[in-house]
Amino acid sequence: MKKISFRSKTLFLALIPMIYLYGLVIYPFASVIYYSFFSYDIGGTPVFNGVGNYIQLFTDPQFYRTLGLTLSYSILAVGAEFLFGIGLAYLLVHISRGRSVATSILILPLVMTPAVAGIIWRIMFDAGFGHVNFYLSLIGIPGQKWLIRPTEAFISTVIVDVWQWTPFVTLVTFAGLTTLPVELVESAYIDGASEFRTFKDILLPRIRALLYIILFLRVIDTLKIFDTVYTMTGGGPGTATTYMSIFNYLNLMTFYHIGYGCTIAAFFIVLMNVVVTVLSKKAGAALFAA
Amino acid sequence: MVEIFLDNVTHIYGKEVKALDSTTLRVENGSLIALLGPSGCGKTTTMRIIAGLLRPTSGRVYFDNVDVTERSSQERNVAMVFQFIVIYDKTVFENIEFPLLVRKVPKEERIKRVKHAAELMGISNVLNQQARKLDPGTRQKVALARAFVRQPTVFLLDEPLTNVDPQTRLELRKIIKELQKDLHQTMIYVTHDQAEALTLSEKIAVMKDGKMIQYDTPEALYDKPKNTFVAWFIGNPGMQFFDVSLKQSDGAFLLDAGEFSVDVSNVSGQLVKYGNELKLGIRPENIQVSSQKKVGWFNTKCTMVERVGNMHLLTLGKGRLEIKAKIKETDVREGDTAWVQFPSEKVRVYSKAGELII
Ligand SMILES: Nc1ncnc2c1ncn2[C@@H]1O[C@H](COP(=O)(O)OP(=O)(O)OP(=O)(O)O)[C@@H](O)[C@H]1O
Ligand SMILES: [Mg+2]
Repeated sequence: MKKISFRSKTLFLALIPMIYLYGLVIYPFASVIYYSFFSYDIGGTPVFNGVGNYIQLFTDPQFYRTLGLTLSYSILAVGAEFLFGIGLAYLLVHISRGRSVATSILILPLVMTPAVAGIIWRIMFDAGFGHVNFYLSLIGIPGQKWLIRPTEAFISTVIVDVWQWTPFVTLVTFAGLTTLPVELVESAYIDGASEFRTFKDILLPRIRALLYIILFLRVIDTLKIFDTVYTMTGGGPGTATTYMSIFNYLNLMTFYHIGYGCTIAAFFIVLMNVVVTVLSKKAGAALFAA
Repeated sequence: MVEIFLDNVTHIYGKEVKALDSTTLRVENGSLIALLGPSGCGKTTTMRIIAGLLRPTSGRVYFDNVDVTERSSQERNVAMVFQFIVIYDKTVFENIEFPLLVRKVPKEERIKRVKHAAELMGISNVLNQQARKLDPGTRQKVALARAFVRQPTVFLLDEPLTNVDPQTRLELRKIIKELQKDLHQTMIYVTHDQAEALTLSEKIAVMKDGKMIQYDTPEALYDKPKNTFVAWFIGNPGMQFFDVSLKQSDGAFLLDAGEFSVDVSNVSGQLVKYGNELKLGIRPENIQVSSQKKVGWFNTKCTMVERVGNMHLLTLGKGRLEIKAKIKETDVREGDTAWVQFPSEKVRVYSKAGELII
């Protein structure tokens, strides 16, 4: 048998990443883009529709509502996660005992499956016998119709995201802070700065590359939010918590609009790409500047 | 500006590591002293205790006779520069301004003082740049300016020039010396570089294994080192020692090293009570060497000639002994016979335990 020559062997090896890139990464995307130009419902045959689906998308009021909801959800949840997450990291740095207990408690929401978290919170938020309303009633606040009214449902989903992901911000920020040299803290202290000022003006700027990476991950994650919300509200009441992924899913799996679903997905891919590029540029700049 | 007094301070890290052992040290108001000693001898620990960053295991710290042991760094109002160059993620201007900003100094005054401090350090031209992007030498200048921009009770400089390039090191040494002269500020300067300690400070505290060994002027440390450690540590190379015994012959007293002996008749009275086993110490630069035979000198064999700066370091063999001599000009070459004399006024005698006798 003829031995494979060195040249053909390297050629063969070079094919592997090519196959990976084109076959596994690009192909599914390409199919999504392809079908986004077809009118194609389950059971029917794909019919070329030009930019018809796109016109439908950009004239669909539900699409704009979904986009607005998703962006609001992302901004509110990530904002609160940063505020509480960094605040908790500050406390974690300054407590002298019980730090390991605190971290093991903090990690609990993180390890919970999002779908399960959604179901648990659905029970907690129940307007009738829910835990949240029970505790609110103890401090004299009347029960809220959490998952029944649109605004309350929206707020509930944000609360759950904040509940699940604040510890992530805390733990990563805390880990970043522990890598800083002790002289940095001592120098700021000797210079006369308070602990809070040192934290805000000296320590946080020093880990901003890390903070950008957390921001990047959280923004992408919240824009893609699906399982927690789907199991908790199913996107409702009405369309009050129908975020991008749920909107997409409903079109594909409930209404069986494969073509239109792919159009939504294609738009989503472009949107995410823009967000990723902008944020990773910021994070990269901070990383290389450090 | 304060006088600092460490009274019998001991510090133990954890349960085991005794970093400072009953240290007592008085730093006069407005003087610049150096803490000098090998790595791990407790210099940084001493500084952190004076700064108030570390509470000593036992002993007290006084600033102008006021016990400040329980007071924080901020209450003590000290300024400190670290070996690890500390820069904040801000511009050079904002870095230097920071201590004034947190003290709520009015803006006009802040600008004036920052500019002045930057001028002293020669960094006026980089005020608007991001401090972290500068080279280490300039970064340390920023850190120094940040210390000098306010009026603290004491400046604590912990090996500030160790991580800086040689050129900047010389420059900063000069600036620090001049600043101290102008400001008459109490300053403690930690270093393990004796040249730095000798050129900068009025007094040097030599430390070893957590103990203050000798606290004296540079001249006294060089001339009358209290024990063999200080004698060996100060100097380049330091003092050399020979085991000798005191012998009497023809009414003269000799320190006999076996291979050679040195006449010490003029000081013999002090030596007798220390027993027979002594150590003779002499600095390489105090030994006289000649290629010509001289009366009263002894002969050696030159085994090596090295250049050290503008001096020659000769290694001279005498039987089983080796003698190092450092001289400016010499016509002695490797392999030659060299004639040697130890001037009696330069000879130091130490007890067997290493304590200075004469
Ligand atoms: N935080 C600490 N925990 C335990 N041991 C310590 C700690 N800091 C210092 N030591 C030990 O205490 C001793 C004195 O340390 P110190 O830092 O004061 O020495 P130094 O003279 O400043 O040395 P160097 O010249 O290396 O800076 C050393 O043996 C060191 O290992
Ligand atoms: Mg040190």
